[in-house]
Amino acid sequence: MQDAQNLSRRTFLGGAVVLVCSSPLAGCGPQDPQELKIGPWVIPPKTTFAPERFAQLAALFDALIPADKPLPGATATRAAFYLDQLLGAFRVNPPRIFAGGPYSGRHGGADNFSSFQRLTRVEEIRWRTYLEGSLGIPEREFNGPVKGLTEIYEENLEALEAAAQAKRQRGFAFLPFDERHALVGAHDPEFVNLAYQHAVEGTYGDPVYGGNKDYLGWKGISYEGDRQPLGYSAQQMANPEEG
Amino acid sequence: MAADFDVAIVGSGAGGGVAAALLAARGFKVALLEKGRNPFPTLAEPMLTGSLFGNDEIKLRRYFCFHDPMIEPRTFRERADQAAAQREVQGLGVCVGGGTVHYDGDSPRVQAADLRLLSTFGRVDGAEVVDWPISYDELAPYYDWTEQLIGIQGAAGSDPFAESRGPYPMPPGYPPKAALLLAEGARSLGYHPHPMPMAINSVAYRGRPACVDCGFCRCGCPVNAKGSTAVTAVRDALLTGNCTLLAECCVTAVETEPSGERASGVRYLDRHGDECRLTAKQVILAANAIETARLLLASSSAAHPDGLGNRSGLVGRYLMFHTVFSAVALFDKELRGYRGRIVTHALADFTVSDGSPGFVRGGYVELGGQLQPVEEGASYPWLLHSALMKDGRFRRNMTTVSMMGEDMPVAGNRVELDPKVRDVYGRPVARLTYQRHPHDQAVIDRYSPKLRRIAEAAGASSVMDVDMARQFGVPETKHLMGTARMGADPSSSITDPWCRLHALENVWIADGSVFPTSTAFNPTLTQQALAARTAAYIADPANPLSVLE
Repeated sequence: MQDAQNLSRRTFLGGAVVLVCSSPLAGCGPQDPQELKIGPWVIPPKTTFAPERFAQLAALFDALIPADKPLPGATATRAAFYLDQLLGAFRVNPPRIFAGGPYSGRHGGADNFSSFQRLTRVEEIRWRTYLEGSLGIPEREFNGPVKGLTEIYEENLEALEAAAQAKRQRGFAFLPFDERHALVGAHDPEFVNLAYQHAVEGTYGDPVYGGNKDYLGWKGISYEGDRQPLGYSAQQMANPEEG
Repeated sequence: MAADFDVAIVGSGAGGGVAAALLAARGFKVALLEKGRNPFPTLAEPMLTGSLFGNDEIKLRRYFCFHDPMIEPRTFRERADQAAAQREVQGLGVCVGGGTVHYDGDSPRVQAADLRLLSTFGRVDGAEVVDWPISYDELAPYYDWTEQLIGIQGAAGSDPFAESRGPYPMPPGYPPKAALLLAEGARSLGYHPHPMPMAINSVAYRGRPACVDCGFCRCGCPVNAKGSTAVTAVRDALLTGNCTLLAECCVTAVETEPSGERASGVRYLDRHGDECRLTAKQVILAANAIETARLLLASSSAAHPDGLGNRSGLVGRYLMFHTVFSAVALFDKELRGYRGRIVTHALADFTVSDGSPGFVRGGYVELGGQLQPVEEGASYPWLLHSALMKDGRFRRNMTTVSMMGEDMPVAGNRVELDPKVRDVYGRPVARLTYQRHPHDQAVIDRYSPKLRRIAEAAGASSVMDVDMARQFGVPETKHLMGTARMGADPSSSITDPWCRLHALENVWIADGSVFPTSTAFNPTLTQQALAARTAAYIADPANPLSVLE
């Protein structure tokens, strides 16, 4: 809850105070010397979640999308970092919600994706409400109080941790796959589906959002990824079995 | 006191953009109000370059430039005696260009019979089937003009059931493998597949590049090869110098003069959330069939206590979506439907009688479909993720045959203001009540086997019948029609045949709201042609066709 309270304080200051990072993504990748490991889980630097919580998140996503050759799974693609960066979207300005366009720069043209876009007034209300919760702020409570995504993850990861401690006397992040998988299967299906959606996005979405590291998600399913400005030729469309 | 503008247009999508282009070109001072953002940084520059869209599924899943159910919730129920629940239903693009930014670009014309449904096919119990108050021949010149404005690819004469016409502005683009297989399968059964008329450039056209078939049409075109109204009509309007684009400005009400007989302008919230007003001699509503009805109902006053133009009580009624169902076909060979435009071929054979007894009119059939990986993965149960993603058939070997079935106009299917739920602007949200008419189910029952047969003839090894509305619990066609139907009789319609409110001489509608029946075809081009017709009439009521010259 510490993160939510900090975000709340910034919001009450009218959004005038924002933490601006030099990079759109808070972490700098596994080669960063500040990288931590908790159990088997790699914790990138400057995560939104505290390292222990991030490890629980990584353990959850791994249970949802495990490595299964040729699929790399959520751990190798760093899908947890995708969700972590969404939760901390407003730690940078513009927030990490909508990547730029039109090009990623991977196939020619400039790298426009990494220039995230400003939000409109109502988009900012929407995304702050979704991530931080309504926090009693009238403009966010036009249909009543809203629990933020950060709080939802905090509560559910805490519940998974409690279940792990109660049943196995170990932290959720330190359980073997089968035991984590069983606990997730017995958890609130609404949250599990929400987390699964985020794990999918972090595995197969564009890497600019923090997941799909080294395009492993795309490579694992033989998917070509974004195509602009090249697109597909008539030959490639007529012969889809060819690369 | 002089009005701020000659015309205020609410919504910059299919109809609003086209109306703005025509009126601004004729010297009218136009205010174009759009509640969404402008994702085209060079829209009013001499050279149009790129957009803020990309080949990026995440941005679409986060509702970039799209109807966001957290910003503007909707509620839905099937019957009036049920409680409506908040549902994500029938969202369209919310940005400059509206729904045309994210659509596939499908741009067929209707057949003459579509506008004479009652005369041609007769009454249907439980539905208010009518003839349109205008004919195909009246609409044809506006189709011609709009197709040139937007840039439509197609092959004239390739659809034997289409009305006769001149050449398209550009030829069809090259097709993906799946469309060729399905077309060949359909042809082997005696049907008449043809290139789908599309608002996507096959060649460079009016300063916009040819499509490179990146396959991300639904995420918004990064390079403006798709002829959204933003980069065609709205851009033309802005370049005249006569059109003021007010993006991120949400209209909350149409204001009227004290007599209630004329509109004086609109009230809106600007990008800072401040309430503003502008006055205009004419007001055109083009917010889509859900949002226009919502705005009319929200614009009540002493003179219009039940909503603007709603003395008949029919505003919001006869909501139609089309009945869309598919044969989802899996092939043994790779198709990779995500390569290229989503739908490139179509057939209209089921819109005309084949002479068999008990004929039920079907709709236009689209050949082609795709699945991108985030959408694919998210659609699977988490416990089956590995198995289905590794299998990959729905991504690599799948295509679809889909029908746009005519949707019966039923008075009980309607848009109202929800009594409880509000949007981020503080307005009551749209409450939809919608239930299929038995005719809709009859269309599915009759034509599902035929769609399946086309897929099998094309070589599919496995075919599934999919009814999207049943699968998701809500209709999700993105074809929004009805709610302010046009007609000659004020007691049974909302607008006159020129799409002007019967009740107010200077308020017009330029979107799918005015459709008296849904037609058997994708509605966008018809909405655009109707908008052009309405705008031409505003410009010169005595001789509107002269405005096209």
